[in-house]
Amino acid sequence: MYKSILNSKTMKYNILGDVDRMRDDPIAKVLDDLLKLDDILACMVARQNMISVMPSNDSFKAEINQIWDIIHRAMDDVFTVISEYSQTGLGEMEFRMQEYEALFYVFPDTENALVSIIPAFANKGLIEVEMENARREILAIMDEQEKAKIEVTA
Amino acid sequence: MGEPKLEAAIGMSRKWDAREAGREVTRSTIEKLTRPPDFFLLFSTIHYEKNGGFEELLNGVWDVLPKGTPLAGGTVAGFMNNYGCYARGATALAFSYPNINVAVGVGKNTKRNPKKAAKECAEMIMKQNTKVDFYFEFISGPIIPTFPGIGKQTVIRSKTSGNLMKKMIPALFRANRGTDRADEFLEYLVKYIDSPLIGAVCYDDGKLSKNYQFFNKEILKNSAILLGISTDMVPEFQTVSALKSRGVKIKVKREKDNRTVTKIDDKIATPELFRILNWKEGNVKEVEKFYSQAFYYPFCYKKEDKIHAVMLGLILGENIYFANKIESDELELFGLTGNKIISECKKAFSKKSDLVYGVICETYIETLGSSVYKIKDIIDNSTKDYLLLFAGGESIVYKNMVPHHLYESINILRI
Repeated sequence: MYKSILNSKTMKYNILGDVDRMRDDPIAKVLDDLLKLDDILACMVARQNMISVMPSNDSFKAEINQIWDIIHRAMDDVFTVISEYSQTGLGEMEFRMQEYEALFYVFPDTENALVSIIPAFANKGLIEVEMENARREILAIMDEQEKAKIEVTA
Repeated sequence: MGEPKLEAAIGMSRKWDAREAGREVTRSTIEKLTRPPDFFLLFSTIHYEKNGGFEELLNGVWDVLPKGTPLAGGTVAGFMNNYGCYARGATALAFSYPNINVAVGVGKNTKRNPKKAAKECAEMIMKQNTKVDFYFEFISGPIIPTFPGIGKQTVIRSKTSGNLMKKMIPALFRANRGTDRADEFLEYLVKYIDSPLIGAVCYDDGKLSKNYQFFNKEILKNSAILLGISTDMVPEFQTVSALKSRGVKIKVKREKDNRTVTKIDDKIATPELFRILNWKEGNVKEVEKFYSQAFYYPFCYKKEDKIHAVMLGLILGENIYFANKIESDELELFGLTGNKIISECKKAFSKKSDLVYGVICETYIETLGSSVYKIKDIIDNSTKDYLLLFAGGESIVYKNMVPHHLYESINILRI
């Protein structure tokens, strides 16, 4: 049910720096919570060539600035794989670049993922638990939004 | 009149603000009870330290909790309860039962003097004249030491520096730093008590830099809290381990402290350890890299039928310093896998229960990551209410009063 919501969001928000972002977006609030964790340097809902939702203040932690461009490019390549295999059960991906890791939690059967950038030697297991909670919260929000949309059109 | 009915309630908060979280975790717990709670166990992750502080968390709790309710608990790496699995937030467990009495003991400076802390704890309980049927224990966890001139280091390969740092360990303990000494505390404690116990080592988010204990309205460090429960309920205790032998056995030569190993198979300990584990110094030099690997290479021995893991603590020149006491000259290398954890949890949580309180090693949540929800799926099928803590170590004492301070284990109290 959430798939159409994800697609509409990606249409709406366009790419980083060129956004018409809703400040009260509940998904942005989920990302705000993630970004408050010390070891999460950046987080977003994204797909290839497109960041759909950012944290509500539109920024990441400063530490990520120096490496953001190259990580962002690498992320797009990972999304090629995600779009190829998400329909066949691809759930999570990650890569390590220099002293950072990018974690991708795919929204089932879509080309979208919740993405976080963390320090390479963070306690990843604990972060993964909170990534999973965020993915579940976002899916629940999207389901709610989809239901509301159906009720309005009915 | 029917039989007295146990009421157990589990609550939670995910709010960031410490005061609000304290209120919410308490409200969401006690609103499920029809009577005031007889005691209240409170646990949180370390995050409230930077979001209002633990004093505010407790202030929030006491805004809601009935005055005089015994409260105990501390910080943990994460927790699992009826709501989900979390590495951030606060959770609580409250009991209400007509036939229950509670006595609380506190021992301070557990790293400096675990013997004295155990005595303090036990004597405080004894003064309350309560016949205790079982205990909950919460004890301060390890703090990675900072060595003068070297800083936070876990691998010191220089023989001279290593020997020097080894001599500083008693000074570290006097400063309440270093390993938790929870094993020693438990050994001393069982000399005073005669009932089963389930214990948890307080922890942070794996950085091993701080942890706190909660006792009524106080935030404590380097302390142990003992909650003695007197009741006609008969809980069942269980220990399960997901450790699996890697098929490597070694003989160690220990120093008197039973923590320092000077020789492995008659060879100098440190290079032999690196050879056995196929470690290269550069790969474990940083503190984070060292512990992220060390936790997956526990050397173990069996005491009764329990696998006791001894955890690599520091490399000090030619010697290896273990975080807990080694009680055997013969050790076996074990390992941990996600599949084994899941299969052991299936065994541990298959029995239908009204309530499970459990203490699980933090390494399990680190290993499983998001797959920790697979454990939740298992428990949801068998247990009405549950709270599992991911802690820095686990203590269990059965009726035979043999103390087991364990790592990488699952310990359960089931009602």
